[in-house]
Amino acid sequence: MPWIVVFIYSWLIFLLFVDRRRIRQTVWGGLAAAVTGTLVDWAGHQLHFYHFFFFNGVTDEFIVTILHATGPMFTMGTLFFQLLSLDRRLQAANVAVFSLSYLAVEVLIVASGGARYGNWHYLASLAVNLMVFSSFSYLGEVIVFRKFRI
Amino acid sequence: MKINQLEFLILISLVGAAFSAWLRYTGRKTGGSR
Repeated sequence: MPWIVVFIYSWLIFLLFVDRRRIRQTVWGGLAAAVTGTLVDWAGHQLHFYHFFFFNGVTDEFIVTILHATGPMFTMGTLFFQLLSLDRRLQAANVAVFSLSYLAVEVLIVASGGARYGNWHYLASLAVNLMVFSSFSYLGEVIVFRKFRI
Repeated sequence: MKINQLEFLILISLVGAAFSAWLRYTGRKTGGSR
């Protein structure tokens, strides 16, 4: 249940806030997030960092990985690219809010039984979230604002 | 900490509402949202 709710809420928020005129540029954020997230989830499962639960069956991790990638990762990645700011402080706040929101959702999913930690910790998730959204800030500037900086 | 489905639904709605408020705020600041 938690994964279905998160999937539906992600798309609701996406449909409320997406700017369809800019989707050709911003969709790259969603695709990059979906690919990155799928790789991280796959590695997390293989290394028994954490496991997902859906029906309590053998296909759970496959189903949830697809729901996760096509739901919160794709939609929030696209919105993150759409709401990029060249104002450093606002962008830092953006990274913090997206990271903490992902963490809050993760805490609730674990608490409701949709995932279980093996060799993992909430702070590890927060660190990964901060690194991913910081990297996406740079990637977004290159793709959305055409700013190439090293 | 364990929560039931109703508690999950209430708490995730609060997270969604707070996150939406932030998106609305940054959308106004950046012109990035409708």
